[in-house]
Amino acid sequence: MSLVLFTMIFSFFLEALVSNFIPMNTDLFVPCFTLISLVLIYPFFTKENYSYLKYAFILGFFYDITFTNVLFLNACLFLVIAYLIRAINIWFSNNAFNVIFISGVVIVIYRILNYFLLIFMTLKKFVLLDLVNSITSSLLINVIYAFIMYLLLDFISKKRKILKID
Amino acid sequence: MYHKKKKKGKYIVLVVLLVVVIVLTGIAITIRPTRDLTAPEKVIKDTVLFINKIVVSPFRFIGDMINESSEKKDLYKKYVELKKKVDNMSLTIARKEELEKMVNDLEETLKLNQNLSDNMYLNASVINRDIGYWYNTITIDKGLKNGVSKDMAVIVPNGLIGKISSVSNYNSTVKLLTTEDVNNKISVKINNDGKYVYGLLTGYDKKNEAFIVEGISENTSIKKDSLVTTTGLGDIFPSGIIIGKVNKITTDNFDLAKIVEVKSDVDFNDITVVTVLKRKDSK
Repeated sequence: MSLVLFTMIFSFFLEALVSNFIPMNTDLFVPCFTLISLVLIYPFFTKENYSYLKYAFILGFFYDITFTNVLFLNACLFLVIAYLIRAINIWFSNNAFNVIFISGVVIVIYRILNYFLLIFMTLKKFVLLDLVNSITSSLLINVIYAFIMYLLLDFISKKRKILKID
Repeated sequence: MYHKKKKKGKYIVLVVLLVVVIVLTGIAITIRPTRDLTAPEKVIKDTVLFINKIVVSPFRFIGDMINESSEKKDLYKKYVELKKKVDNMSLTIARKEELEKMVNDLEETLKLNQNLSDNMYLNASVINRDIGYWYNTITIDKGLKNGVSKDMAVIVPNGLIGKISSVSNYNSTVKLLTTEDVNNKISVKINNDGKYVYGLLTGYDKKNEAFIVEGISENTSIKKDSLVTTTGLGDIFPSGIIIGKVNKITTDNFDLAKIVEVKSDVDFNDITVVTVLKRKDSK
């Protein structure tokens, strides 16, 4: 569980750190490391799936308070994404390539849900190009982060003999 | 058995719908721009941002050292340019004092208690930027305890950058003008050879990196490089804050109004220190 907490906290603060050094209107390097941490921590919840959902909700809640000031927006989105990760992981084994694939899917769905929620709240006009840009700008750096972190967590879990779902 | 299953299915659908409605209502309430942060939110936000500040500080220090070493090139050239500006400064200060005296005399004569450009200044450092979300925001290290409140204008030396969107005890979030927000409209004036043309800043064109000003009649002539500033109307942004300069003038689809592209001198990718403006007459 300490590894799970470490991954979540590390991803959370790394996203804040990276945001400080990346240009505002970047087309390639928008970080969503906090979201990716949900993909990375899932294999460590071998028995208690509801704990995983609780962690996702709390992480989203803290993300909301710190970065967005909109309560429950990301808390609920992270919960939905956690359900999705849980569902997808039934069909895929836990390896680097599947983690990359799931990370990509998660980012696409997160961006779509987020965008349509904002349109529903009449805070944005619907421009398909904006949605596509937001997805493409988030994919590269987050997929690379997922890959590197997966390798690191895999190494640590093998060293410490921590059980994982395969 | 079949009827029980059907009933159970209906209940589940009802519960899910109810949960979705409650969640959407909650989000709709909390997403309102006029919402103030609650006390627990302020405490959590301040704590997390304090830890974030500690984490980011070493990297920022290294980044500043790298910037410093690159700026040390062409030092003599910069010195010469700055010396010229300093030499002209005394003239500018004298002119400013003269103008201030004129304004004070006029205010006294007309018995004006306030004007649209009376401001107080508060400097702050940027401690966080958020680009993962849809709104381009930055977080500064001044909050309620420093006298910051919502909707205060935030500027840098080159012009206006945004306004305070939420405030906690020790930090504030600034929503930048580059945010694509349908509610982000500012009353502006374009200095057209001494005469002012009034318009509305309606958005930001990410592709051309320019602000869009609309609501200007087709008959009005506007020159390129005219200065665009805030009018002070609308009670949010004080008057006279630079937005940028006119870059391009086009007409709308119906040829009834002009659309003006305004380029700002502010580098929105590199904002480290900002100034928060407060009108002297605001509460």
